[in-house]
Amino acid sequence: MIPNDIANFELTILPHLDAAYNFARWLTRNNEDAADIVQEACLRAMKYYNSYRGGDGRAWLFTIIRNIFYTRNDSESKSQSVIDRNFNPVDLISYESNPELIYQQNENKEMLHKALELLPVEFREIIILRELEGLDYKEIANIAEIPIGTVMSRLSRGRKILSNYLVKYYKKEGLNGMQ
Amino acid sequence: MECSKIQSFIDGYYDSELDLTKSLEIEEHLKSCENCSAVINNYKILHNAFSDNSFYYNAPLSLKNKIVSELDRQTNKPIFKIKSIFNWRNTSFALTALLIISVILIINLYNNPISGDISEQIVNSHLRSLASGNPTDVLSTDKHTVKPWFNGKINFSPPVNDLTSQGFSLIGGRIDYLNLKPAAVLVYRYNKHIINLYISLSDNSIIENREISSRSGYNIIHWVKDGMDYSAISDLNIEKLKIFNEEFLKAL
Repeated sequence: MIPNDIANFELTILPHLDAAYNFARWLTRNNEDAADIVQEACLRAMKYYNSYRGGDGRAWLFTIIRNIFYTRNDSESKSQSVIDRNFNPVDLISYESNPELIYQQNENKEMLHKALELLPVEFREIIILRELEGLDYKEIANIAEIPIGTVMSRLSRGRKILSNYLVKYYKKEGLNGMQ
Repeated sequence: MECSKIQSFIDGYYDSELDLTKSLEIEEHLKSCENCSAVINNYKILHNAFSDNSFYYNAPLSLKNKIVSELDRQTNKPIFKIKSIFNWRNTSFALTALLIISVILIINLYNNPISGDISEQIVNSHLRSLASGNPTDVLSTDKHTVKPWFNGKINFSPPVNDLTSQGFSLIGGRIDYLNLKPAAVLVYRYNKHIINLYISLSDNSIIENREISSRSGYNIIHWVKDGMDYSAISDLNIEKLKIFNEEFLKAL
């Protein structure tokens, strides 16, 4: 790298290591693979820094991470779409009157965590980019290389699976608790 | 609009991604539809839950350190890689630099005929070490690792001082030859500048002596102490290099 690139790399890429790791961690669902992918992504980013055309360094880093992840997990991501069949939303909009009850306990946080991990990766990655990174549809569409309409429908499906799962879990636990 | 149609746009509405007309249409529907409002409400609850710290994994420090030190390594790499030779901008820089270096070398050869030979060797060795991208054979910031590494490789034991607190970090050492005599080389870094310190047994009977010279844009300080010849070379400015010289002597 030329010295100028190194200085720019420090400004544009280094501040996003946490975001990079968070994204990789949710994709891979374990610490070692996440750290490994982020390291490789940074090496690539250094190597190909001259092809970086400005803009959000974070988004560029996400694109690289995603490429590495899908290359490594090509077979896994296609065959094992991790969905637990129980997650299929049955009747999406027949919620209990006060769903807020669901999230009041700490263990529900863990449940939601688990549910997000089990969400198929094509929904999970979109949820992370939107909910945790606050990217807009256009940015997400660029990173995931899908049309904006698909971003919206995947978000919709992902969010509904998650809310529905929690409603169900709460109802089940609630019953057990009463017995 | 019916609920099913609203539902396919409700995320866009929630994320403020719809145009005004569509947005108002959905807002109107929500006023009168409990089911669709419940969906929005759940989205808000989900979003609040996600904002909890437990959903965000920060990069471990070890990973950050690895990446920063990789970047440091890049900093010390030579600029003229085979690939970048094809880059015209770099090529013209390289040619200009080469021209300037040769002119300076020629001028210095004429002006400095006495100590010319040894400083030339030092400059060459310094440049080679920078160009290889790997100026150290033993890579350690710990003087207790670097000092014993020289045992059995050379016939004297060079003093190894860590001057990190003075801004000069020890990064390692290697062996080189000057005038066919083995020299221990300690490698220090001051910010982005590399300092090579050559230590060899002295033929000189003079106890203490300091000579300052400059070659090809590099500053060299030569001194003799306790029967050893020291030459520090760097692209650091001469004042900083003098401070390095003094701090090294103080730490002896």
